[in-house]
Amino acid sequence: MGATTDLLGRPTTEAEDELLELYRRAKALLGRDDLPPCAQAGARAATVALWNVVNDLGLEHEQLLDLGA
Amino acid sequence: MGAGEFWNPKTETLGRDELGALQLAKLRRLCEWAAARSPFYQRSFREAGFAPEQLKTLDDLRRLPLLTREQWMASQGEQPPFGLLPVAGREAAIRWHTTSGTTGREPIRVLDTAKDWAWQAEMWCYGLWGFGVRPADTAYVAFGYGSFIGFWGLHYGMEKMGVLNVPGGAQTTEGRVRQIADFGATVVASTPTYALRLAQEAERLGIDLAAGGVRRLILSGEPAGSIPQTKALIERLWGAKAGDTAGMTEIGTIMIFECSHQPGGTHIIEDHYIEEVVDPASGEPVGYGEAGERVVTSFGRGIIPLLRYRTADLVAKVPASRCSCGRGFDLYEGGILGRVDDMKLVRGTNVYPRAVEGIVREFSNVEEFQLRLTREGHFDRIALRVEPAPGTSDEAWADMAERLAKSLAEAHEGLRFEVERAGEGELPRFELKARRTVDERDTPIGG
Repeated sequence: MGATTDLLGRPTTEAEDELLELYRRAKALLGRDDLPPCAQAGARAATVALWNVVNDLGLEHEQLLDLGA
Repeated sequence: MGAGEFWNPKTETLGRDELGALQLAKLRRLCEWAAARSPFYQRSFREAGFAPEQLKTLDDLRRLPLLTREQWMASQGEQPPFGLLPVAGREAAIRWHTTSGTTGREPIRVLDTAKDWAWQAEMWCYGLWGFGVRPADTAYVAFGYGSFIGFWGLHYGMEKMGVLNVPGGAQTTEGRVRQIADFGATVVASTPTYALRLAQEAERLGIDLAAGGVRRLILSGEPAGSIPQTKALIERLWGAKAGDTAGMTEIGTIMIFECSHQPGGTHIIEDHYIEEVVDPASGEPVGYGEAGERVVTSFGRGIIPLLRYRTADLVAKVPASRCSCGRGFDLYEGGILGRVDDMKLVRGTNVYPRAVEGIVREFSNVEEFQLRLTREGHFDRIALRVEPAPGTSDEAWADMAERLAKSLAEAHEGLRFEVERAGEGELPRFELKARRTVDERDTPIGG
């Protein structure tokens, strides 16, 4: 599982852990170089959507430029 | 208030200390990003002797140099077309927008990545949800959908929330009024000026907006959304609640919104921004309740990091406790009060266009107006040109003009405003940012 605290150092909830895990998996997928265009575009959209969630909830704050987003 | 009234209850209800800690964590990362990737900030940090590791508390924010529009423009000139602020070029972006160009200046050009663009819609979601828009609504966006960023983010925010969205681009005003009625819109987004224009057109068409289905108006693009008299007029004509928001191309989206409690101010989305209010002359911070220049640091747009940007917006911050909604976000009392350089000096008297509009909007018979400043020899003249509603008799106009002149003089230390009647359709109409003040003087005497 991912981090156990948010950016404020507070313990994450079970739902937040799940969101972080999904976000990291989406990022990993987006970083692959063997995806067809349709999959890459979908992975990018999914990563961006999850970035907004983890950013809103103060779980993670980072840039995605190097992943093409 | 229940959690259902917040878009993001976790951070919208944080206490001030926790909110500050979150801002500091984001600020550090943003500064590290800017220092690593942006040629502009690499240079400005070096010149200011600043390094991100110096950020120990939020007060250390003031170690960062202020950024002005002039610096941004100079940077665009140095390296066209986007300047040195961006951390990447157009190949990394999915959107290219510009400022509206209503001032006649060269526009600022901005890029957005897919992540940045999605974040901009997210900011609108805070405001839309906070004002009471819900997925069951039908929204009509009275906007031209051009290169000006305007309501683009609102459009995608509505879609994200699950709202049925009607893009009202490429329409005449009559066409838009008819679509609002025909599609059964419950929410309309427009500038305050255009909300009034739509209401005038509806009246001409015999469509009773107040009896229709619109329940909420989302206003943006001009300070008028928080001028009490203008807001009251819009709410009366539409039979709907009007919520003010404000944003800017430089950040790509909104940074403040009025919540459903309508406390007379707009909440700052403080988990995504740091908003400082400073003395325009000294750059020193001013306290709660004092008017000063808004300075924004945005955690959202990664491709163009924005740190301590001087907006020239005039604001007065008040504590979150001023509103009963339960948000921990401070507010700007009265929204954006105007521009730092808005004030006009006429024969030794300060004239603020916002204050003039507040007086004019007390007269319901005003179709459009314009403030015109001219000079004859060494004598400054100020004229209020008014286009009254069609069919206004000479007698009614004379009475109205007299009362307008009296109210304006009383509010301006006896300064005489010449109130002139403009012909029907003579004054310009606006869809985006209204420009009702025309100053034809070279340099104000004493200015």
